Amino acid sequence: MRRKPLSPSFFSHSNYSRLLLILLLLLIAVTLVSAAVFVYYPVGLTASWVAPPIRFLDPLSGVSVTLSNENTTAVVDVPTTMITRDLILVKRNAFIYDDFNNDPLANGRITILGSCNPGYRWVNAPDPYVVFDASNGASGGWNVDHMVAYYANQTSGTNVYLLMKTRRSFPGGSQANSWKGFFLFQSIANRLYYTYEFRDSFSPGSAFMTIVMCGPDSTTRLVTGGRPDSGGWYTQWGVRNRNTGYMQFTTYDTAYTPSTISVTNNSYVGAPIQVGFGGGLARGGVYYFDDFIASSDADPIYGMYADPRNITVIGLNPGWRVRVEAPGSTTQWAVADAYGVARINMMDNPIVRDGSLHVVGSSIDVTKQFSTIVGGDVYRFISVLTDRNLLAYHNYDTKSYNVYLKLDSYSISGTVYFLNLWVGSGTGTTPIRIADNVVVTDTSSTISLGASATNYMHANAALTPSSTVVLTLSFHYYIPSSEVEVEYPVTVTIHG
Amino acid sequence: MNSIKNHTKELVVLTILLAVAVSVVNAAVFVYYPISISAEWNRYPIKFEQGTNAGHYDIDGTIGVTLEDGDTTATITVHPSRRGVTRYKDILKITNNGTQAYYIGFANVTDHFGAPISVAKLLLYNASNNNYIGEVDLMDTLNTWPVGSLSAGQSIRVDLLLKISSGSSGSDTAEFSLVYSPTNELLP
Repeated sequence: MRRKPLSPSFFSHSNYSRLLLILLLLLIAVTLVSAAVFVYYPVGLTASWVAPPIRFLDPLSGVSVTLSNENTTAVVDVPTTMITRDLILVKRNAFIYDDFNNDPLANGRITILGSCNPGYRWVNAPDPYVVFDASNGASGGWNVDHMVAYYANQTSGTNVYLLMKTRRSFPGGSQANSWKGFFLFQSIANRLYYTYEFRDSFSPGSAFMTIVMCGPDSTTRLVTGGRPDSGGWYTQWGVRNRNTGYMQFTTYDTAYTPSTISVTNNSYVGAPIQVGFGGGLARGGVYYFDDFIASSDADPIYGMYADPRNITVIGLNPGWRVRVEAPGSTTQWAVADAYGVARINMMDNPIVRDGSLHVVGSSIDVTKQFSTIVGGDVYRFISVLTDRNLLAYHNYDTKSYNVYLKLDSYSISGTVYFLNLWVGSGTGTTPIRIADNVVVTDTSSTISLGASATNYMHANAALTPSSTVVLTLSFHYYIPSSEVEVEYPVTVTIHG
Repeated sequence: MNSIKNHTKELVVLTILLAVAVSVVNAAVFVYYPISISAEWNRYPIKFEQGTNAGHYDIDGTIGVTLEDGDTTATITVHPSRRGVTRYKDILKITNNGTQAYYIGFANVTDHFGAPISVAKLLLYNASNNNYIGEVDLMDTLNTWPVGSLSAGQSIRVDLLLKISSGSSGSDTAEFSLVYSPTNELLP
């Protein structure tokens, strides 16, 4: 067996010179790479510090100002004595509210569909209302004339709530198949709608409630429930979930005793798109309508309070009391819960004109008048800092500077609904702004401060009572032409 | 004694040999190899430039930036407020006029700032896009190497930030060196 000859080795004598050359080149390369060359240039920096050209002053506006470091450091404290209390409407969830203070038909708020009789009329009483009247005898026998007054406003949100006051008057006694209630349209043109009906009966005391699905050629009672009508102003309340089709209808008698029926039907998906009121009137029937409210939970924050049976006041301290005061219709006191939320029952008078909200709490007694208070409204009790000078600053130099303010950090206990902080007179410039505890703008506009001039840092705010906001700020001024900028620390504390 | 006398001849020879041997060991041998070092001073790639705000208004007087030795020595004089934080923007630039990138740093802080200055920093930015590169603390003698690299044709913008709290006017000087190198080696 013969062995294969070995291949010639690279390290043979013939390659020694080549190997030596490679090693030499490698050595040179390593030497070059490792060769560190450092070049040094000398720098001399001299700082000659001088007197600060701009310094703070107490604005003498009633706030507490502590200055230090030759008036270049400021701590400002706004005590509660600088704060006023207020109530503000934050959300009106009602998209229709009509107390028929004037004629809704003549003023174009409603459109009436149905038989020409029974007749519509608006009654300008001390508490005006509208009437559907079949007492002229146009309707007869078993025939019932239907009338609906609807509003152009379209709904939004998931749950649509309806509330209305109704009263029947049958000079000739109760009439079967007559009813008064709500219309919840999917389509007016195609006559697709639900009705919430509070019906009368031949037999006194045997009236009932029903929720009906109505089409062009048919009606289907989806649910019924007993409810006698003893006359007087009843309160009707209903809700429909536009997604699930859940419907609930409640009537309250004059003592506000409720009777409720409910059903789920989603044949008319998305209904109601529009809403109205009305009913069916047999001969001789007369129905009165007042205080119609349609509201929805479309608002992502305050929609949860959209139910028109109540108004809601938030921002209270737990245990504080609040009520609506109006001539002849003061509500019961509502007590704020652990979250500072109070809900006032408004069913007796769901639309109040020129009424007041009255809040009573520890060291608190605040009354605020509103032109209208509507079921479903959400009000907020707030502490208010009206625009006030917090700090003055004076330019002792002979040249002008540009001034601005920057928010470096902050802490809030409670809620700051809004806070604006300006430099310079007036409110025309962009302030540092906090809204709902979130910093919207952290740097103010820049304003010019002339030689020997004085100007102010000023603020307004609305926040929850007993809250505290601490702002850590930096006050900046710079020479416009050279961008030399000086910065002083400022701390502002506002007690709500 | 007779033994020594009998071997006198051998001892003389041994002594001579020993003397020769010692002479050979103590003889200093100097070997000379020729070395040639050529120093070719060429155009230097890195130079200082005055920042856009050099010579402009300071809180008092003007911002002094003097460049010497072919823009390789910088002397800066500023007049900050003795209260608060004073920032000088774009007082000096470091420009690479060469054809390769260099590492940039600061070293040999032979004199640093002290009280009443509590903060003294050089803030370095890319002059083209204003991106932050790094900073140099002038409150101690530590080398800051490297701060970053500087590409050919690019410049670094140097800002200065000083925080001072003093009830009276005064002055202090920091002395240090700009260092650059084509390699990111440890400073010698």
